Amino acid sequence: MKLLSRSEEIVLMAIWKLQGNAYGVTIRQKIFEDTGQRWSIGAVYAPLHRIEKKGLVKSYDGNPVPERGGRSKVYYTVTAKGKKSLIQMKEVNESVWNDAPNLGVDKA
Amino acid sequence: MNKSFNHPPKLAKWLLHKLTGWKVRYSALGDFDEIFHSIAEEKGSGIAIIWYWFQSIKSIPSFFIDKIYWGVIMLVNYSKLAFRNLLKNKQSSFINIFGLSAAIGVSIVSFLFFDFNYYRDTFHKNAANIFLVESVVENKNGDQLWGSTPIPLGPSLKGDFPQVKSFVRLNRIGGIVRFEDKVFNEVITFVDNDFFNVFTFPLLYGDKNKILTDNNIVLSYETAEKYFGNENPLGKQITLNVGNEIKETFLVNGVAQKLPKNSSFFFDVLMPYDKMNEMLSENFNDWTKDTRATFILLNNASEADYLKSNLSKYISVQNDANFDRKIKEFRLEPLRTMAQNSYKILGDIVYINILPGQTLSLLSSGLFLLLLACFNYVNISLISASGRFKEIGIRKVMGGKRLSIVIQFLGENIIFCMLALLMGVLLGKYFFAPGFNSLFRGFNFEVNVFENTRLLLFLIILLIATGIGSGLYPALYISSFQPANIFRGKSKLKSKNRFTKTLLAFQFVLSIILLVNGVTLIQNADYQSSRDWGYEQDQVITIPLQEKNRFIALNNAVRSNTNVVSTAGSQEKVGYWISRINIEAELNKYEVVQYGVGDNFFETYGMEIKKGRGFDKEIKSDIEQSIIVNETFAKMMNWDDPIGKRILFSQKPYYIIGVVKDFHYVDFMWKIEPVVMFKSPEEEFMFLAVKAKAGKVIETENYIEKKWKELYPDSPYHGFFQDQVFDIYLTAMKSVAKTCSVSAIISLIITCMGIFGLVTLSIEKRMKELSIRKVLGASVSSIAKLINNEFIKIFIFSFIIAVPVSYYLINLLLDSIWKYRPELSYLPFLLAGVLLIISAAITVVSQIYKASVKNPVDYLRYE
Repeated sequence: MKLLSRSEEIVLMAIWKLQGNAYGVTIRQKIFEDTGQRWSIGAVYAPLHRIEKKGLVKSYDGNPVPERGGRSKVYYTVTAKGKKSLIQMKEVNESVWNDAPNLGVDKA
Repeated sequence: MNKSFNHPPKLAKWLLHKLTGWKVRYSALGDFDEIFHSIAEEKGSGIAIIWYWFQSIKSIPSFFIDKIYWGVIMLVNYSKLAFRNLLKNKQSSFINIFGLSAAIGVSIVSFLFFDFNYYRDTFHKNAANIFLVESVVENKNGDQLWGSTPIPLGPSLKGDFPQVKSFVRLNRIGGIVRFEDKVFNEVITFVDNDFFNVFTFPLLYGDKNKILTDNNIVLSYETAEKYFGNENPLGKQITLNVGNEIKETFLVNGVAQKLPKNSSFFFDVLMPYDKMNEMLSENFNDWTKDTRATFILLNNASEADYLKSNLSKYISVQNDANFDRKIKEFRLEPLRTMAQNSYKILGDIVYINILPGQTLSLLSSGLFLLLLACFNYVNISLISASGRFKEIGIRKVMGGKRLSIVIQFLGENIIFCMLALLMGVLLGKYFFAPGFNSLFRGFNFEVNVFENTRLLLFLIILLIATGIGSGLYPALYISSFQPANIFRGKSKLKSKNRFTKTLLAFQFVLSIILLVNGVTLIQNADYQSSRDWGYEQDQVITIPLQEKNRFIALNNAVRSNTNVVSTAGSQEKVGYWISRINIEAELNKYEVVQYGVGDNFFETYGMEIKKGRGFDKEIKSDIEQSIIVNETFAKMMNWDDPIGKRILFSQKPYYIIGVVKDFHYVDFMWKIEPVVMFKSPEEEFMFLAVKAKAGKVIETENYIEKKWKELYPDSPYHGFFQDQVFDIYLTAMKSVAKTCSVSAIISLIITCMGIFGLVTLSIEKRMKELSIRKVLGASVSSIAKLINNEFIKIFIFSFIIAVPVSYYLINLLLDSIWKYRPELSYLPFLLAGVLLIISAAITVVSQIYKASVKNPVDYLRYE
């Protein structure tokens, strides 16, 4: 499988961490918590759209609410393929960071 | 929760709506609203609105990229489909591409022809301000434009009008040039020394300011190569012999670079104009002598009008000096239009005269072929669309808009047209253009997109035009089908589609027109080859003497040969030589062609004296006052019996003693004019004609050449066989016929391909019906009859329309070019119709045969 792009990976992981409560607003919030960066709504949806097309997440509709202008919340969950993808990213990350010469950052 | 809701800014919402693809829009806009409301609750609606705007703008790049990303994916998908479709119908795809590329190849050549004619002489920097002075001579038949003007006119114009910045006169005289052992006849062009300042001919060697003075000579690139090879000829001396016997030496101090292909006039050797007057011992200020061209350079082109109205004062000066040729007015012709109008101008310096009719016919044949090919494509894609109904239905169901389907089909079409364009350019470059160049001398077309930007522009426009022209209707038509109807099986492409039939009829008409054209031109070429020239040209050898006073010696040397039947001399050549004079008859002035001939002229050339007698050696007065006229002259004067009638030339009276049968002194594109023939003294003859015994002609010619070399070793021998004098012309006629036949055949092939495609598809569609018929016992022929019927009806209809149209068109074409041509017979029309129907029949029958041997079971299985 092809590797995910960085933003795709972050979005996918956020969805996984949210475990069923993942929709646009919460995903964006989670990303802020994890990375400290405020992504624009568009910046979340672009990679989200792609990983959905790739079949890594699937979506289902909630109930319409007035706060959303009468629209429902669209929840996303990670599929089996998505899980495989995350595992692959983890392995790749570990092997990339493994045995790297000291960067001078010590985590206690 | 607060019940009073604030609303997000409508404008920003609209912006987001437009930016997002439908998939993302739903949830993203919901997110925007949700966060908007929670901020509005906490911090107030003002801050929420600011946030909304800020967030929208921040999101623009990402949404935009998202949209493009999916656009690209769809494009890839469409391209895959396009190629897949192309390969699926390999046969019809190939047919279409080949037909279209052949049409494009021909159009490219037509365009190059038009381009060449339209952009002649544009490379001169001063082109906009250069004008040619023309004379208008009054004639009984109307005004005639002449390119030649009096010698003193140029300098007078400059002297009298400050608007004239400079003038350049041009004159051409034949001479003999010699360098070491290389001797050749050259045409010397005499020009005033502003030549290189007025015209832009870059020099390879030499200084622009130092040339064209004293005894200096400028050579063209090719001439320098001829005499000096690759060496730099500057400073070398060559001898020149012009006019009289005196040879002078000149210094080469300039070599021009290769002249641009779109120059309308050329030169080989350039010399200062003043030198010409010296060498020919003529008067500078003689208003009776003409130069071949007078160009003027104005400071500003807008002053031409003022100048034009003030040229009349020179008319009286000219006309006082020159009794015989009265000029009615002088005109200024812009350099820009000189080449295009050169067919109207007599005695001008332009090398290739192109008649507007020729450009038009070439352009229209290219256009016709393109139309044919496009029609093919439209027809075939309309019918092959029925195979793609399911695809369209599903696309629409999945949410595809009609616009995107139209774009898909149009895009496929453009890819297809691009392939055809590429093939067409290759065909044009390696087949059609070289073919045209070899058929028509003097043209050297190159298909080079990198050099010729106009060609590139033309190709781009062609691509767009054919892409849209051939793709728009099918795309719109195909995308209009409703999915419900498609899946219900209710929508069928009607085989009796009127549009398809009309297109096919149009193709037939075009093919018939082109076929009639081709056949008629072949007939014409044949006619031109076999037409009677008005005299007996076989067995006659003509030798240009090149100088006066040579006739007597050569004639005596040759006459005694036993193979010589008769000899004669003349001042003019019979063949592409026109010498005109003005005479007066019955108080009216006429411009006629003149010949100065000697004894036995008519016998040697086999010209028939219809009335009266020829010149008689014994009758001394013949030289003084006898003339012979041709039949056209007698007709012009309305004289039934011209014998004894009087005409005046240069104030002297002459009496007609005979009428000669009309003979063609130029080719059949020109009408035979009134001709007046004088008896000239032998010292004046410039041509010797020798009639040899049949079968001994070549022997005799060799003998003559031998004698020439003995008598005049310093002059090149240029004897020729009289029956070859129109060879170039006749070859050109055959070339025209060949070209038109080629386009006729191409159109036939394209039409047949169209029929082939149509029949194939139409049979495929009806396979079920045909299979049932077959099972029920119908024979092949009855099935064939069914299919043929449709086509036959279309064919008859097209034929009826095509015949009068092509009759009119071909008459128009023939009349505009040839003065003497065959009458149209029924043959071309019959032949065209037969050719078309046979080709169509073969095509249809072959497909029907293939269909009839198929197993009906295969087609009935699915039911």
